[in-house]
Amino acid sequence: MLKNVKEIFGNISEAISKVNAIVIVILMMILVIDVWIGVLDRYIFGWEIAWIEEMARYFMIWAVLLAVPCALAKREHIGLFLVLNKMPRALRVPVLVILDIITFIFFLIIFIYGLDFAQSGASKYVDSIIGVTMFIPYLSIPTFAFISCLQVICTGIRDFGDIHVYDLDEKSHRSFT
Amino acid sequence: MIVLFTFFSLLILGLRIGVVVGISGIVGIMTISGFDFMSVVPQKIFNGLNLFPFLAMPFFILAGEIMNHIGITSKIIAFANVLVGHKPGGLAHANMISSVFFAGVSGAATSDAAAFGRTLVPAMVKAGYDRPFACAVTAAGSIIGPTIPPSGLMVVYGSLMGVSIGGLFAAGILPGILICIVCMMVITVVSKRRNFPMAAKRASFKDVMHALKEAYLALIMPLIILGGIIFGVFTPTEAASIAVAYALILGVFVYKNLSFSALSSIILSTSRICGVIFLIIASASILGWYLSFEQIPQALTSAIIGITENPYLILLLIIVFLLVVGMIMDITAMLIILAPILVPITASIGIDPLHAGIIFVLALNISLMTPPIGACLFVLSSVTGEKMERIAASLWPFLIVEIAVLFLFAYWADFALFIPRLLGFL
Repeated sequence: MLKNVKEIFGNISEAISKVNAIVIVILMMILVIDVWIGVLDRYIFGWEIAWIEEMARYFMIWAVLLAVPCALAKREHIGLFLVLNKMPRALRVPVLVILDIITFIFFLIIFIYGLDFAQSGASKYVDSIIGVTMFIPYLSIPTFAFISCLQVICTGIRDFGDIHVYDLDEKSHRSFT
Repeated sequence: MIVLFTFFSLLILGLRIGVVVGISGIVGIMTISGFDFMSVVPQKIFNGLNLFPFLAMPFFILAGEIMNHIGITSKIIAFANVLVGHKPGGLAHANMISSVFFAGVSGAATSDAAAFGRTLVPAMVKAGYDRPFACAVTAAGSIIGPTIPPSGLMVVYGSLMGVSIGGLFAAGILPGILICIVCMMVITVVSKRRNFPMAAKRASFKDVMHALKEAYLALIMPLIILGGIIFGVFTPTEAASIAVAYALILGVFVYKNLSFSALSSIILSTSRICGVIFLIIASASILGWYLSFEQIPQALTSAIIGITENPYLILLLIIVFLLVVGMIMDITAMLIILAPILVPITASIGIDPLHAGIIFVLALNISLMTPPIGACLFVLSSVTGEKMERIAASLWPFLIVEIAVLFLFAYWADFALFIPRLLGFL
């Protein structure tokens, strides 16, 4: 029974991730093309398009924030696992569940206050395009927080106190140049 | 106090760093006036990410991942080997030189260590080197990539602190090359003493040209990026987007081994890496708001100045602190959290923020390969199956010379800032 429930939530998490991933890939492609147009504009055509840089920033914010729940689903977010790995299972399970609950509360706070924030964007305007409000850029905050909340619930039930081998390989220390 | 307790207790228990930092910030905001100021949370997240220079990061990572996928690594190593393979400890030298060439296209210090650990370490062992030494050389070389530009750590630091990223890139060239040179000196000494193998004869001019022909397309990319940024032709973000275009052209038209589905999965994995980093940046801007509201960086600065006013000692303390924290925590996360706190301190003792940036980046990179728990050592140990303590035993000479380079650049500002000044960044 428990195994079935875990599997169901694992599948839900995967389904959310799949849709999420498609949106991220599309956003990233638009982002790259946007900056390419900017480069061509500046060095070759001289159209002086005003919105390139501002749009790039908003696309980036949407793309990287939506990647947060995607990484949550795979438990890729970095942390310090030295103590956790040494804990006996009887202690580790409740600790991991509590950590998931704290993570949920964190994203819930961002979601609740993010809704007001997004609304406040409806009365502000973007700098480079006349008549377009900041509602859509600001909406990225409650949206990513909401999907993150869903992922925390799904992965929390899916793993219920299991530790992830994923945490132990090099990606847990991943940095970049 | 309660913020500090929240931060450390949750961190030690294993909560993800991005969430630890954010929750600590939220707890801090609540101590000011309950839920009254909570509306700054989404604001700070948005404003913290709303910086154009940050865009360089996903693009550089994307370009690096594409280059890795299309098989640049082996071509670079082959070219390095024909250049230096005939010297005593030839393959070890080739390992170092590859790290320099690889810098322009590499992912992380840890992923460099993993890639080289899988390819070069077995090759070195097969040629007659002992495995701990092969691992030590790889670990020592793996920090060259993130020191020589383009460097994500520098993009993060420059964006957060408002320091010229081009200037930081320019300042990273000398230490990166110097680390390579001093490590090659160590290799020469050790190889002569332990009689490590070398290639039977020097590669002919024809061989060198052949290897160069295979590798030059990969070697040009860092030149375009660096030349463009350092001479002020492109902004870092533009240069990074050109790097992506270049890598795509190589993958699709030249090597013809980059499919659309592979590209999608590379874009997705790049985004996830960025999601991890940007959550920390977003959370750090929540915590940062609380810290500056309570004027904590200023308080910390005067507390430290109260203990000692000796700038050399303060700098020493900061470097040792960074070397230690970098061993146990992700270095990007550390840079994001600590830079806004440490820069006021270094500024108070007269260190230019650009110089401070190079010191931080170098110290944090070196911490990755510091025994007993540096991340690069973990990676190499798990990839090659060699014991950490045996790698560490071979690593000490490299570590000492690299720390010496760090101190040279930390205490000799004119030398550290020579190239940025020459190019007009200061």
